[in-house]
Amino acid sequence: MYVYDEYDQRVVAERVAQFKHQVQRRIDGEITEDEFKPIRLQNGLYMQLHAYMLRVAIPYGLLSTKQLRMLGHIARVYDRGYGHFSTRQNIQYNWPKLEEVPNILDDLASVEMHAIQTSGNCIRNVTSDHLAGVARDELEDPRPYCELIRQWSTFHPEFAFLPRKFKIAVTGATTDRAAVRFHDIGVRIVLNEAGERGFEIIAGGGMGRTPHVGPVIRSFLPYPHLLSYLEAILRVYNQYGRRDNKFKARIKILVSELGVDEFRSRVEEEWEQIRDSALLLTEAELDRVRHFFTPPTYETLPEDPNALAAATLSSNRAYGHFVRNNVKPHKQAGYCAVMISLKVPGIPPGDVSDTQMDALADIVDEYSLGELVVTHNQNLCLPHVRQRDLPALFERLQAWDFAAANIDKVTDTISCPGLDYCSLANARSIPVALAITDRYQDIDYLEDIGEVSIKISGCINACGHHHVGHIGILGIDKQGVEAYQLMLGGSPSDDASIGKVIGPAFSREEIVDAVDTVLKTYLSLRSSDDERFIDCYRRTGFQPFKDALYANH
Amino acid sequence: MAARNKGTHVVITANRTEDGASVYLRADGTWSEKVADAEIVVEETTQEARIAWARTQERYVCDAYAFSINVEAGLPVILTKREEIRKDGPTVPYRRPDQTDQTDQADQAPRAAKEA
Amino acid sequence: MQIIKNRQLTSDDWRHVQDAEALPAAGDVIVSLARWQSEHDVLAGHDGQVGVRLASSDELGPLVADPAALAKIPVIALEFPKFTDGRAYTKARLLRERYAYTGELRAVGYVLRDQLFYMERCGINAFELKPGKPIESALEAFAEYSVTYQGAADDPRPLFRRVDRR
Repeated sequence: MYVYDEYDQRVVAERVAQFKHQVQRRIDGEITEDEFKPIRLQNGLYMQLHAYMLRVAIPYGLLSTKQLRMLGHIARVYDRGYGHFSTRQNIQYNWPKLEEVPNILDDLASVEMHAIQTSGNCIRNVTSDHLAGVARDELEDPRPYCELIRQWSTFHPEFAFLPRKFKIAVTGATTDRAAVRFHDIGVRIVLNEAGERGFEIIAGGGMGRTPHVGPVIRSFLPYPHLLSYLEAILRVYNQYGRRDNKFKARIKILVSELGVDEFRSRVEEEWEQIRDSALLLTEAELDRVRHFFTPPTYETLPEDPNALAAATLSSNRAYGHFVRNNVKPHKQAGYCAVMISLKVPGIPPGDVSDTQMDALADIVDEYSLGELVVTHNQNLCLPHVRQRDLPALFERLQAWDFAAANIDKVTDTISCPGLDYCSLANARSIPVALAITDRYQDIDYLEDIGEVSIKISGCINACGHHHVGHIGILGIDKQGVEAYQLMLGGSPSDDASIGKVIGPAFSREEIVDAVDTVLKTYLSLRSSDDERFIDCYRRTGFQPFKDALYANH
Repeated sequence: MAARNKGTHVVITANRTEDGASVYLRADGTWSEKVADAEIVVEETTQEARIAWARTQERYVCDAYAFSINVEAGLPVILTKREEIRKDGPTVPYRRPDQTDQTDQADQAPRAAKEA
Repeated sequence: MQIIKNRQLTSDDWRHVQDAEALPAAGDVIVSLARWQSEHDVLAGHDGQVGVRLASSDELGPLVADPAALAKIPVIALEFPKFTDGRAYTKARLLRERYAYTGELRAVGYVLRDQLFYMERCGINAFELKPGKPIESALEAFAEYSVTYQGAADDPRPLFRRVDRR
């Protein structure tokens, strides 16, 4: 992974010093809350319903165990003993005190971490594929480019006050696990006709009030032009993005209102002016950053194609389920990637306690070469596990409640913090997720249903990504009472689609039954045990589901 | 501003600058964590004056606003889920229970996270 | 009025003239882009220097159409109507880097010390701070960072072109 040099370290240290002073000026009354607010947002500090919230950046989700231990330390010393992993591969602390935030940032800086630009109308954390570097279908590791974009965007003086937040994702695999078509800019590593590698640039995707699948702006961009092209897009957005209406200020609105062709032409016109400037990435810099992401020294192990299959039939049924559902193929023979589900009964999705973080750090040191990744789905991933270590790893994970075998199943829900925490929310989302987890505890039934993603948002800002859930749930406020809209058929990946609202909203009491009706309808309609929910829905259309849901309304 | 057609009165609330906690304005101008202590405000002019005053107290509180309540037995009654949650905190657990058969590990001193 | 110019406190005689106001008989004035275009001849005869003020929604086009005229403008004031309106950062960079403007670029409006570092990197070299804010301590803002990652008006080279990072 990337290791800071003296320059990176100084950037973070100087930011902490600046923020420390800004906090002091706020506490002393020298600046007002209105003046402090954009400053604290650019340092990842939100004001929630009943506390501050600090969002710490985890660039492209990658963590060392040293960093994980520090995250546990912060939870323990400054917060209430837990952290929450978010849908953009970051971690959130829900109870920091204003005066202590500079100390938290100092602690983070000591392990090469920060909370820079995790909020505010600036370029946010660059996210990626949680299997980056290890996936079998990977064309090239996207993470060096994430890191290059991260540095270019950090304290970019021209783009600190954009019309709205700006999110970039990069993928390097043939299957998109980074939802690049739903970001303000999506970057995909591709091959052109001459067999050369470069980038496909997508812009104007997004969720929120008006979800958009982002169009391709440039189908092939050679490596050295990555930063200059992004700069051109940001410059067009900074100048022409709407600033009159917060809900129409994202780049997706600009792309949509100008039309793709006009947008592209403005970007290309700007890019022509800067493409051969100092922004051109040098071979030296490309090599330097790529070098940090060369694969670790794996052992030479035999690939045993039957070993994993055999493991799924283990007499230890829990272990069998775990291997079947949570273990993913790896490009290195004899290795695998292991998913850790943070979706267990009674616990908000994505929450991990401080002692769990410490225990996990020990486990990751022993079984995953000291690295782990935060996914988009409020789960974690151990990317470097030897297949033969799986039985021992399973037992260690099980002891710390990390072995729930429900990856990609009904209970692997995503839920934003919702009205329990967030001042933007209209309804609570975590209790709905917990109710779903409670309802479906039988792992055999979960496996029978198969792959279903349920995504829950507490408001239209869509931090739970409900538009791209196979089953999406949106919490709304119906005359002061919480209600829930149900939508079906969304997908964040290459088969990108936006879910369709199925009918009138359900009450809190009805929504889980409604989900159950949807699942039972699927089971009755599927053409075979292997037909996934999303494929069945696309084949049958929404009508049978609508009929089943509203038959008695 | 509060939707007065929802409740009969309002109280003034804000977030405490120090830690973001929900606080409620007492009649004597101090802030309490308990909504039961809040001044029950009737007149719109009083409401505006209170909020204007709260905005001069940014060293202690920020984002002051008024919300609707009813009154029963002289005490404010909260009308929305949102204000209930502001008052009582999250409705979901947040202290994650550790596994009981790991008490040995849980009791050990946490690793020095800054070791070289 | 006291302003910051080239990282020093200095007093200043430029006067902002609003569109509805009559021009003073003499003295250095700053007028809006619209007025600069529409009253070109009147301004040419003004007894004093004439600078231009750009609103955040103004396009640079009319200002940069004639490079000779642009080069003669002594000061261009860039409005920051709100802390959050960042359009003038782009205007500043383009004026410096694309149109080779070498006169004074001045930030006016909602200008806090917390923006000064970014503004200077974008090529702004003079600042009218928001009234009521301490001006002496604002000078510290320019030294808040000793490292920058990306190129800008101050130096077009990204860090990787300025130093050897291997």
